Amino acid sequence: MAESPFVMRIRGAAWNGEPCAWADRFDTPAPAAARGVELAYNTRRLDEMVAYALAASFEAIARAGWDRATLEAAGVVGLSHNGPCIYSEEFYRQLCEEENPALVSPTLFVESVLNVACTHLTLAMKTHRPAFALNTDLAHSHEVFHTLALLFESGQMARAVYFACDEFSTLGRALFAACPEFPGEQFVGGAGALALEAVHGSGPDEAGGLLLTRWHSVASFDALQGTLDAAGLADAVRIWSPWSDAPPPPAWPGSAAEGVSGLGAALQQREQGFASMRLAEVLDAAAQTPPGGTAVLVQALRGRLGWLAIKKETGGADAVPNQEQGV
Amino acid sequence: MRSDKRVVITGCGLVTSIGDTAERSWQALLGGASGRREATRFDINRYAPRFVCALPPSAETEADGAFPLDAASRVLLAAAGEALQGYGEDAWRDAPAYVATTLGGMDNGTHFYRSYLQHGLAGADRARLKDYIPFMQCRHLMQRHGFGRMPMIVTNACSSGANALGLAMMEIRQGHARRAVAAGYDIVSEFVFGGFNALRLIDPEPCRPFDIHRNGLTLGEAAGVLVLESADEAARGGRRPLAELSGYAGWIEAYHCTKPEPTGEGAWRVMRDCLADAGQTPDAVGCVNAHGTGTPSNDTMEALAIERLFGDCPHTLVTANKASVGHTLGAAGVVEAIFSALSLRDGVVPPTRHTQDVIPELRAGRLAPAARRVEGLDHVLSTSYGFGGTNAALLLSRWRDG
Repeated sequence: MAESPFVMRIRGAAWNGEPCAWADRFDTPAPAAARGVELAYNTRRLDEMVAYALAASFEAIARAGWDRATLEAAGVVGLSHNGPCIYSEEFYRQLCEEENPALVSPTLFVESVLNVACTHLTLAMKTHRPAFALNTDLAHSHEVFHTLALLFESGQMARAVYFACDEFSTLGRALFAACPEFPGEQFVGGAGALALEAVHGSGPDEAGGLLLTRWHSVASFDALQGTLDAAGLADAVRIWSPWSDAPPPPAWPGSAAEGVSGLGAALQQREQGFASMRLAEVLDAAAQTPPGGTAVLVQALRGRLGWLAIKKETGGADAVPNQEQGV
Repeated sequence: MRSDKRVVITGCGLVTSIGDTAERSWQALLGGASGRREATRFDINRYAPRFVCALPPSAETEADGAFPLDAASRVLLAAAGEALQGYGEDAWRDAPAYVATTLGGMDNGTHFYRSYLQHGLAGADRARLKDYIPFMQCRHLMQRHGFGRMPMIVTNACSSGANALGLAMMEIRQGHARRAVAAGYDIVSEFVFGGFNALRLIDPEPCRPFDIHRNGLTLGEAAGVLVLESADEAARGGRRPLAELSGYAGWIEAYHCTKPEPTGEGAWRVMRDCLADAGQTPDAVGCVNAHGTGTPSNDTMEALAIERLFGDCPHTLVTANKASVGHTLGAAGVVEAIFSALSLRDGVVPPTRHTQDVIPELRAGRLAPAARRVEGLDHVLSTSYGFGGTNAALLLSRWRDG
């Protein structure tokens, strides 16, 4: 039997932030028997993005049903594109305007470093497992699913909280609005979070989870078809991500979607959330898949292709119904 | 799940305040040089401390294309130019890269923001925004050297560089790549200088790691790039390794947003775990390349951790590079790994400048003001401790065939 390509399982997913069209993608059904460990955390004086990341992560943890012991053995991976820009702008404004810059509050500086969200989450979780604050080009967000798989495979962690967050300051909104890449879009600050566990080898489906492969890079369409065949995913529903600069591939047998499709396409020229929205694409691909089915998210950028697959677990009799598309 | 694959260093590039190549920086370090000079990227007259270990103008490469590159891009490309040569065509097309930084192009960001405050959005210098976001430096790296994959940027504060090396190492150990790149860079912008100044962490005098009279750190600028390969791949290419990267560990203290856990528990654990990852014991370590920032809290806890692990190993020396090149933030882990590898190559432990009265928590004789030749130097442990209690340790080992 071929080794399963699925290397991690989503146990819980959640969103927190400004109202947006993709928040419902994070209502991942997870039959947690009881609410998870309470993580009371004072979010005063936290940058907005950090507060969103904490709230989303706490909710994902609760939906996963992780207890305190489980939590303290989990690592953290956090992704952002803009970072805590609201606080960093405020800190630098005060630095410029204060006659004596030594009198500017150091708290603003500390709360605007790029790993501050990871710091607060690890403090709340009381975990000593590694934590990685990462940053990528907006269009390469999905590649973090390779880094997550690498951390699981290397034994750095068996469970992880992964959050993807971004915020937009008043200045940032004005600047992005002037970019031709975002014509007329509204910018939505917020965070999506996943509670993930490593999967080793093949095994029966479990109810309420979503299985993920790592993110794979491939050099060409021919190579893409070959790797999907080799992974046993040739018949998967394919969601062609809109973040692509190449025409869609030829239709494959069994392909249920052609061309630009998925969450991003539906939201084009409406709302833009950067990191958290890109995470929502993964869950949206799952939402468009029948219980027990598999979706493949494909993206082409700058001459390179990438993909990851999502399988919707059923656990047998407890089939999880499809979510309605609320776009 | 440690694999049997050996990971080796076959290429390195380094630009620091004391040299614009790895070899020049290394020789200057051995000679006791210091890169400390008055900061010029912003108006230093507004601040009491005035000095940083700043890059000399010769260390930054030329502009590229229609737009002048920002300083962070220039220094990263300069280090990459040294490290990545000689691997052949398309060598980087499939290679993963992990690039560490704490602030990316923030120098450009601060200049833009000042112009925005003075002239409003319509009159602000928007050209400065081009290289502000961290991935822009990576994009220049991709374009210059033909990387097929966008590098993943690691922003774990002061341990970013060590963590980037750890991730690159995992790629090779787990069989996902035969070659990987780890890099780190940072430029001292007014943002970061002002921040550390507000925290009262900058010493107006030269920093003195592990000195009784220490009073803080000196910020520094640098870029370092390392090429990691599997030992088999290096042999296939006829490349003799500079050193082996034999161990990595990460540990989160979950203690405080900025301060280290004062007993050194977190530092001790990450060093211990790193040695376990490498299958080594403390008595095998000839030198600890310490984080050694010169701050009161870091150096005391680090000394406690070192003595807890190496208390029975009086032969284990300690060095602290930040006394010469400053605290280079995101670059520090890579910079100090390069110096550790060169230590192994030459069998020499570099000096720790400015330190005269070593704290009692650190055993007498471990630290020295002059370079020391060490017979049988086989392993150097390099440590990094960052804001948020992000601890990382790397073990570098002298390369032996077989």
